[in-house]
Amino acid sequence: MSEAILSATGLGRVFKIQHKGRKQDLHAVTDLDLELHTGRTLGVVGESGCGKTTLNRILLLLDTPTTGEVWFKGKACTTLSGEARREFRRAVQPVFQNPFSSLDPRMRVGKIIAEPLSTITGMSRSDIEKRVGEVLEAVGLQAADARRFPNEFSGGQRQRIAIARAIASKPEVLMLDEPVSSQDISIRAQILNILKDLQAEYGLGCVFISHDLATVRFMADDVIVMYLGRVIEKGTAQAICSTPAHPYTKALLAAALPPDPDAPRPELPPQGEIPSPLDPPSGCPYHTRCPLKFDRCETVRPPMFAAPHGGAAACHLLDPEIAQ
Amino acid sequence: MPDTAMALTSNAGRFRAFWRQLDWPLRVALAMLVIFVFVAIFGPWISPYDPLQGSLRARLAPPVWQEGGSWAHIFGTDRLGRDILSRIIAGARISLTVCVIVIALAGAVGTAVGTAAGYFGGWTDRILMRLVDLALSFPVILLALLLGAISGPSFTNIIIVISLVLWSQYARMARGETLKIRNEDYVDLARTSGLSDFRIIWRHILPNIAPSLIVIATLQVGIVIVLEASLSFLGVGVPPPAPSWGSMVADGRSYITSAWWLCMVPGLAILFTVMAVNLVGDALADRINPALRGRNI
Ligand SMILES: Nc1ncnc2c1ncn2[C@@H]1O[C@H](COP(=O)(O)OP(=O)(O)OP(=O)(O)O)[C@@H](O)[C@H]1O
Ligand SMILES: [Mg+2]
Repeated sequence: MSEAILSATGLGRVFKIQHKGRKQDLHAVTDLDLELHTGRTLGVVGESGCGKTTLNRILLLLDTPTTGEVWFKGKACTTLSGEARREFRRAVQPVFQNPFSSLDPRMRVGKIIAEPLSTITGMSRSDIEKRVGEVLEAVGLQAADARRFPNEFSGGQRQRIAIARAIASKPEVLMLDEPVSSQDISIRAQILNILKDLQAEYGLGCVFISHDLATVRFMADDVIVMYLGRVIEKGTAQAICSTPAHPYTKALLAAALPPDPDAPRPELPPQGEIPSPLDPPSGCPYHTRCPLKFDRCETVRPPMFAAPHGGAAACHLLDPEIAQ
Repeated sequence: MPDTAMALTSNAGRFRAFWRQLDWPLRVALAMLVIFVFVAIFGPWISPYDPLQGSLRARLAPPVWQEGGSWAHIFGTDRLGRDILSRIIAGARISLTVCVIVIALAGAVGTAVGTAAGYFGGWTDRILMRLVDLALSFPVILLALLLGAISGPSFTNIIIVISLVLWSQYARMARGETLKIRNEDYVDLARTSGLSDFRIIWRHILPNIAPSLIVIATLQVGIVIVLEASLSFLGVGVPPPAPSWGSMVADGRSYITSAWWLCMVPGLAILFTVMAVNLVGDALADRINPALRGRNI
């Protein structure tokens, strides 16, 4: 496969927080690798609080990782400066979860969409105006809407404005952090379809973050599954959503999908509560809830083992030695 | 042509609709405010006499409603025979000038400090807010008296002293409001669009916190007028013979038994103006940010 357009190696993010009067380390993301290739969509799944948004912010250079590095077209992002950084900003654009927070209430829609154009690209005013009209129409709104204010639009329309803004600078990567979670069910499909069409049309690479395996299956080509800030399984969307290897992914899948005779039986419900990222468990992070855990899980952290579906998963049960 | 006519009637109509929903104290206050500003601006053209030149023959003339008063000097004259109405009119101009300069200065400094503290957080915040605490604990009257003793009463001193008292209000408000919106997604999106911190503050933070700052500015007008009058009364404000309302009250002190109007007239001018300003300020605060109502800065 070609070189990744955006990738991360060994990413870690520790927040220093004040908890119960003590300074503590919160491990939001730990030792995380990922690769995004042009034209493909990488799904990131995991429960609430597992570090998806933290990961997204690091990949967008809005936050600096405590360890590890983000790579853009083969260059380390910490070394990007001036022109290269501008190119990154043009090429990597986000859509956030809450469309009521992503549009400045005091700016007209046209100005909101033009913001990345006027700061990063050297386009002339008339070109910018034309481009704003184009992208508004691309997301199913009208060019005339550029003169209106955000409060004149519904949540779904606002999210489409946010998408229009994201694609205005002709980016190569879209970072989508739960872009439909705040929408009505009826609007979700509409937004997802717009995203999918745009992705196909422009050959965009997308990072699609969601806690919902069903939407990820619809959107993504490849999937990584996160648990307590770590990747515990990765593979193609097809593989992860039909024959997951990690007990956690199996449980997620069972929870996400309606009973289906072809799907694996939900024989493995997770036990207990999700542990706190303030004090991640030793060994396998999932061992506190895993119905299949055995001695080694408590002490040794499993590396990524090749999984039968062609991807990999961090579970001792996949260790070829144990399987024997 | 018909377009302009339309616009005019619709503006007049909008004004009438606006006027009708005000209660009567607010209408009176608004009218008084308009008169104050008008007088302050056009004073030199409507003033009946020169406020600085008196005629000793007309010394201490009583106001028109007193025995011996005349329409020549409606509010009477002071100990140098200067027309009090003319001095009140000139005093309005001084008050307004001080208000405009102080509020612009304190507002600019306070807003800059507050938004920087709120936006950058961390050490910047801690240092800048220490500065604000310091400003709040500053013995201002002492400073004013000191400055006055060193360099005599001066217009610059009074501007500096009052601004020193008032800038911290803007800083605190700007910081609080900035904290509220700095985590909005549109701020992060501005960053991913390559805007510098300065431009983010300028384009996104300031327009969104402006309403609250405008409310503070309105609520401060009354305070500035009172402070200016007080400092002038103490002899460290606007230097004589300029007729600040405060120094007029001070001038009249020694005649309080024989010619009480010398204190009364400028005193009432201060009272009515400040009341009008506060009423309008509170009404505005109500509309823009109800949380600030009745706040006694
Ligand atoms: N700025 C921060 N300071 C301290 N802790 C943080 C900060 N941001 C995130 N966290 C913590 O890091 C962990 C991961 O948070 P994150 O927002 O990345 O999760 P998430 O997977 O996006 O969850 P959700 O699905 O609810 O959006 C959480 O425990 C959160 O409390
Ligand atoms: Mg999140």
